[in-house]
Amino acid sequence: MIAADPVPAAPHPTYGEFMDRARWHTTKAFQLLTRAPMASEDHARHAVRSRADLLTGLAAHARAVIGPAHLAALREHPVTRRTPDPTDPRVRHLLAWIDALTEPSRRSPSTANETHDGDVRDTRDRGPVAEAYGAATLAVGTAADLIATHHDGATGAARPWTPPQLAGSDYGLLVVEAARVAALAAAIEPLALRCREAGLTRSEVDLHLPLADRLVDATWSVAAEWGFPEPGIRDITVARPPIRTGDPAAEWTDRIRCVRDRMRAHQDTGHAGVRTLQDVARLGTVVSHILATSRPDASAQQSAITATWRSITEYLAPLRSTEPADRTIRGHVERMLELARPAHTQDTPRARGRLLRAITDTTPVVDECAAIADRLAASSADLWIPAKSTHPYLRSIRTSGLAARRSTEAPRAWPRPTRAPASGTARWVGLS
Amino acid sequence: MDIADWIDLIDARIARRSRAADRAWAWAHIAHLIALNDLLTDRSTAPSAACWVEPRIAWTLDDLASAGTRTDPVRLPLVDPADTPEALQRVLDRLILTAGTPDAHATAAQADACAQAVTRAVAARLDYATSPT
Repeated sequence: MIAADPVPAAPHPTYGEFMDRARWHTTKAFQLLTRAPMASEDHARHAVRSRADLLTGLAAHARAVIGPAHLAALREHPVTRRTPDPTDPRVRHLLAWIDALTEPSRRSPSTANETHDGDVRDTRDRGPVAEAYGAATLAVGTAADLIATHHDGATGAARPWTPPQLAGSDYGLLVVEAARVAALAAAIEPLALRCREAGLTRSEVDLHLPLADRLVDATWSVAAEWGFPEPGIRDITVARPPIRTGDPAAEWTDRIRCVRDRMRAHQDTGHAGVRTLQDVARLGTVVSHILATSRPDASAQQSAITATWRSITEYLAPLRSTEPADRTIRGHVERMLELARPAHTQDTPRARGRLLRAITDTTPVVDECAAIADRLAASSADLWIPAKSTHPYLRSIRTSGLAARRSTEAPRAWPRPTRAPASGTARWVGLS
Repeated sequence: MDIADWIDLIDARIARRSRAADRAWAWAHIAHLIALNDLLTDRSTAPSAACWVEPRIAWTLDDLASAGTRTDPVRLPLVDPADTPEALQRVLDRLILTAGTPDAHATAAQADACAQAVTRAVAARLDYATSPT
């Protein structure tokens, strides 16, 4: 069994984290091989196959970060400004390394879990070494997918919002990261020795782990030519469209969708801190205020929604938590308040009108955020409720000297806002 | 109690704190209490204009606490609800003044948090004063 993953899960894992994870699992496989023999022949075959899968995955990773079109151009060696001369040792070593990763002679053995058609029936008992190689392969593939989000699928060009350190970088900087993983899996020892111990015949070991494997040399050649990757490259995370900051209405729409996406991410993890829930309630309250004051003719319909947001605020106000706020959501909400404040657009009535329209149009998004927060607040066990305050004015806000205690029961559900009945022209009336 | 006396009474309690960040946190705490109370007790159609104040001051409190400010909340004397708008604006004025006062003993994080507090309080005060209700 593999120990817990040492790389902490982050809201937006970076390319470097995935590759670190791959190296950690590959190192783990190496350590398992050095410390104890494998339990059975089948575990040995699974280990050999998983190692081959990892090397194949690294080759696919290299092709993905270079780009298939670019790689084909390198192989056909037309010399242009964008495709360097393949006689350059760096390019020559790189192509040789990719070929070595997918060496045809390194064939995978069949295992007892495999049918005659080559399908795997059951992979649960593959042994710890194969599990470690498998986890590394998964991380390498995920890292390649992350980089792929920065490339246009049709043209292979970098997307407009791709960070400049990636868009303007040489592909070799990313390939070096893959080479660092390959260096840990390239050597055939001690895997070959453990396979012999587990009962595989010499001819079988020679077939699948050929002594003349040139992968080690090819990997070290790439490492020597390309050096170390830039730290900034490792921090790249999945591509997201940028926030359009030129127009308040467009910026509002982009940011509210980002808040919604973050709340969906919290929903997937099943938890959001009380500060984050309060930020969502603050956003809803401000939106409700804007809609009620900008459309006085429909204020009666808005009053029920306003009262609901008030009850939400009242419910959340006394709750305390040591968990910090979600900085992404807080940053978006703070900027949205800045956009919505009257002073921001007082000199540009048309921009104000478009912004109000955007706020109206995005009320369903606020509804969704509130619904997610409703579920999270109802299921959260991390809300801290202070002892009851006795001060008549402070309404249970004062916490000095009062010991917080963990609620023994899940808090009551977030009061679900009730949408006011829509009338013919009042489509803007929503939760907010 | 007259608003001027009310402010003086709070000022006397807060002035005992030696650090500017502590005093700023105390003023922000009071501003947050008043704004939150205004939001919760207002029974009109729209949320009170305090909705512009409460978030910003809550974030200010979080930032000051994250910067290492550790001080006790202030006991708040009762204020007539009719005086809430004036009281809130005066408290925000005090927050702007206190957080904007340089403190040689403040850490860099506290100085940043105080500067951010001034920015937020100025915006909150303006929005509270000019927002339609």
